[in-house]
Amino acid sequence: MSAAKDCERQGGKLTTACRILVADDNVDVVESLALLMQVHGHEVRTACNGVEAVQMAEQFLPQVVFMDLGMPLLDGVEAGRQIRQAIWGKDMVIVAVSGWGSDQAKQRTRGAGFNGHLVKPASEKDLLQIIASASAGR
Amino acid sequence: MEDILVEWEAFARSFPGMSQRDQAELRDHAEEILRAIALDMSTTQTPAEANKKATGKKENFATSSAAGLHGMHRHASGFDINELVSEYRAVRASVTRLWTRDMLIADKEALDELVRFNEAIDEAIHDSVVIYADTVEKSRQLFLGVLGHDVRTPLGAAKVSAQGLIGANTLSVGQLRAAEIIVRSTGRVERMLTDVLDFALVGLRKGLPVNPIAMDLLVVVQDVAQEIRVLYPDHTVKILFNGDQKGEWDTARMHQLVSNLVENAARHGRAGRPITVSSVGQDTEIVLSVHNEGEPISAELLPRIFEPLVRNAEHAKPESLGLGLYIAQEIVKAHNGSIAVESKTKGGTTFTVCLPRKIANDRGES
Repeated sequence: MSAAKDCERQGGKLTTACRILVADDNVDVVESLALLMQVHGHEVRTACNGVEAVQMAEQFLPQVVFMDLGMPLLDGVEAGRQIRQAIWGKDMVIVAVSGWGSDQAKQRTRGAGFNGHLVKPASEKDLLQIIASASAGR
Repeated sequence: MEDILVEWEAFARSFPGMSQRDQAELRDHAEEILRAIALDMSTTQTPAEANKKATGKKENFATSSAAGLHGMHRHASGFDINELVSEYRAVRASVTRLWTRDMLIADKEALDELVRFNEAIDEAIHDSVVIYADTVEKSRQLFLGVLGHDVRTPLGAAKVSAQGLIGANTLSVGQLRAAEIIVRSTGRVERMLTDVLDFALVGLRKGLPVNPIAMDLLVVVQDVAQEIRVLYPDHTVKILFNGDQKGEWDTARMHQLVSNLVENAARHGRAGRPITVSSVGQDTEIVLSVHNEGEPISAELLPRIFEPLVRNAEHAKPESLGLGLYIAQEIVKAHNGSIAVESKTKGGTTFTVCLPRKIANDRGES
């Protein structure tokens, strides 16, 4: 049995399909993450800048948003803040994915309303765990 | 003053790549340094002060800031350390020559002045060189940090793509193996990059930053044992523990510490023989030890084993950057603990870490 299937069985049950938004300005990163999540049965949309991330969140209404912080047009922290403050975004699970995991960086994202902060490169295990607990919390 | 500056400039101009703007700056620096030296020489000093200066212990702010700036500037202009020091040699030579050129009698006063001049030049060289070396070190570490950080992005994409391929469950056995190799290899590179980044961090910030929270060390040990079993299937990992394993440490750093020690044991331990991780909870501290059987660390290498970039040259495994034990030591230091190693043919190699359960900070709060 592959490790991937083990991840889905966290908590003793299969994770139900979730809507996930992945925002990152690096094309390879965003595509590979989307592929990984699709392989696990989830529906994925992508955004490559902060403005697109907010728009996509409003249209697609994902359960989970993985937000890269260093993006053009509007940075990830601001985009996350806007999503959190919107009526349609107040219950979304928004997780920052950043190259920097310093205390200040984590405080910033916490202050903007993020549910969590992963340091790049985020492990498959961490990503799937977040999705699993978001889907269980529904 | 003008004659000296002319000679100094002539020397500097012999260097390719020195722009017009640089020449103007050179003049400013040179003049400032020389004026500071002149000022210093015109004030009387006691024999005690003179001695302090000669042995490099006196602080002379005027000269040090101008000379320090000069060192930084020279680094930016692409001078190497040799050229920087040669500049001062040129100044010393031209000043002394111009000075003594018109002297008919060398009296005591003139000799004292010459001595003070030379002392001032030596101080200036010292300041320039210190700042120059510091600047070189800092740019090197910044570069390492940026490199480590930027390389991780495409590396992460490669790893995640391979994990996606595996998860799709459509690969043949051979293709699956290939994808697993990609995941393992990118994982190894990721670990090397982490080491490089941490190495840069230690230098830039004079130590690793840590975030202690309440945690259970046993959980970390078990996680690491699992990971090592997957990476090194030829080795078994035994865990022995005694006493309460809870304390306040940085979770990620503890994972890194145990991981570095156990992986080191796996890399150098005799295949087929167990690696033993034992953790004993004592009153105020935890004593963690990692043991492997096999060839002992050589007597030459043993005292230097925690130094960065020191590798066991006989082991032809280039996966290690030689930073693992250095970083392990830095993590232990950041938690106010200690680490030691024993390595003998009969007893094998044991790394022992003493970790206080809580880091008490300087103000006595803990």
